[in-house]
Amino acid sequence: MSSFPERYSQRSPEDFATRLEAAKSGREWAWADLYRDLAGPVTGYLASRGATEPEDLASETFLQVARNIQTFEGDESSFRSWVFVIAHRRLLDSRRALQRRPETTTLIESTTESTGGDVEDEALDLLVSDEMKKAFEHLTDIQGDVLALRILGRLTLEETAQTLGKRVGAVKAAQRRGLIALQQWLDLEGVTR
Amino acid sequence: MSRIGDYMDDMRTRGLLDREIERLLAGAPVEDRDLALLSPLVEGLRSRAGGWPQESEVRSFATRAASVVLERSPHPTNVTAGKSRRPRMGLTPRLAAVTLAVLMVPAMAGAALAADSSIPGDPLYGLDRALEVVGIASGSIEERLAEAAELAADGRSQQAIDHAVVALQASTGDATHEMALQALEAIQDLSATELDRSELVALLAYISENIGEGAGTDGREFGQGVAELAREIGGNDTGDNPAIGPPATDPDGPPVVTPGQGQDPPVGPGNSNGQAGNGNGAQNENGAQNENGAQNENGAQNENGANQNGAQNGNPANPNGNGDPGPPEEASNSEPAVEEPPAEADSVAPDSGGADADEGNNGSGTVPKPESPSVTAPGRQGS
Repeated sequence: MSSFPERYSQRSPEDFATRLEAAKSGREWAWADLYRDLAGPVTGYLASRGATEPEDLASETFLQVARNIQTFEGDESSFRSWVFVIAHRRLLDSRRALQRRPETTTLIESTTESTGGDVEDEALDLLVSDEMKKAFEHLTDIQGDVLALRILGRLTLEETAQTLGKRVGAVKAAQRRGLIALQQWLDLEGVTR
Repeated sequence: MSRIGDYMDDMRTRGLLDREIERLLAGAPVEDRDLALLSPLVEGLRSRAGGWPQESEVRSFATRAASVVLERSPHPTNVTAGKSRRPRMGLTPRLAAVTLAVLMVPAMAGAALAADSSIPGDPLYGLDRALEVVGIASGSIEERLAEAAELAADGRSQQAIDHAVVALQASTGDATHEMALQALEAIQDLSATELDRSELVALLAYISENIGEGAGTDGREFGQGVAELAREIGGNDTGDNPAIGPPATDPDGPPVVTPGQGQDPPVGPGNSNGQAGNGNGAQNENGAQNENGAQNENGAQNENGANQNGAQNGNPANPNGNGDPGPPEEASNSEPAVEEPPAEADSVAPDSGGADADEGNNGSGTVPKPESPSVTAPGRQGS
């Protein structure tokens, strides 16, 4: 129902099973492949949901994936959902932490901005923080979660539903309404980009 | 409403729209003129996640991840020596223990039993986990939670909560796992002095004994049980804030992976019911039970109204419902709230909200019976 024409890659289920086994045995190539596939989507997702330090959060997410990989069983699709569940929880945890310690928040933010990173990181941050954050401000939490997972996380409908613990129907409804909200925002702003 | 909004009442169009939305979100060209306007934005967002990360970063992560895995892995046998950064000595004792145990099955029974009942921190706990990994003892989530309860009984409250949280985070269970996780995360940051030992033991014991019982249903009883016990731990201090702790008052708290959060206010009546009902477990632990009950009532009434309208208006338009890609079982969940013969309710359901109402339908299962007599228990088909 929701196949991405150019999904991560056209791999057979066996390929993923092999890769998962290798990852569980600590093979670096397997971890490199998994990370190459998912780091961009996970970081993009975290950034679009307002993470102040999406790269750090993504890095924590993937380390937790590594720590818990022995407990994971499933196909590539459930693996992606699983990774995003972890990312989602990390995100919520970091939001809570920030709310509890608002003074540190400002400090961290200003530090990161002044330090900067490499060009690519900066580009990501910049685009994420401006256009994207503005767009996502007009969405409710669930709409934002769903659209971020679908667009930046590149998850399918089913994977998104699994990640958020919702039904496919609810995800569909949220993305419809989210897109309407985005369209209204574009109309209002006269944004043409 | 906008142009897309105009379509939304028409089920046939919505079916088409969903397909177009799939294409849009996948970065494929869309035919729909209005949706096409969103293409540049979506494409712009999609491209943010592409072309990333850098290869150097990939390599450094891979090295780190591999060493994390190897440190935790009890059977490094199939790892090529060159790739392993972990000193081999580190694992040897545990590996030896496992090998020995496997070879001496009869003699092992006693040790395995002893190890199986060990908790983190005990000398035998490493063996317990190692045996689990090779499949000799059960490594179920229930066991992890029971261990947490024992830790709590030992007075190691925070370690107990952390242990349970880690176990639950790693599990991919049903809604009850999520409820338990949320309840525990809500009290995770309480200081040791704020945690009452016996109450925490009661909570963890309840969770370990009842988790998973909600499979196939909405887990409502479980959620309420957990919420009550968690509230006793965190909510003794003040009357006007029955919430458990700092995280509970956090508006971002509930949106965790709980089914039916209902953070989607613009959605129709069905969904507002879902807001109250489906998120029951999560909202309860946040102390919002009363408010929740009120919402339930409203939601139930709303949904009733909506469904009955649907029944009257919807029947002639029924064929349209077939165009809706929403799974039929979601729709049939509307039944409980509608006092109609099942056959009719069936045909009504897709029109009365289809996918939109699905959270709400689920929610109807959690509506307290006494307050809303129109909701009949047998209809609780749950998820």
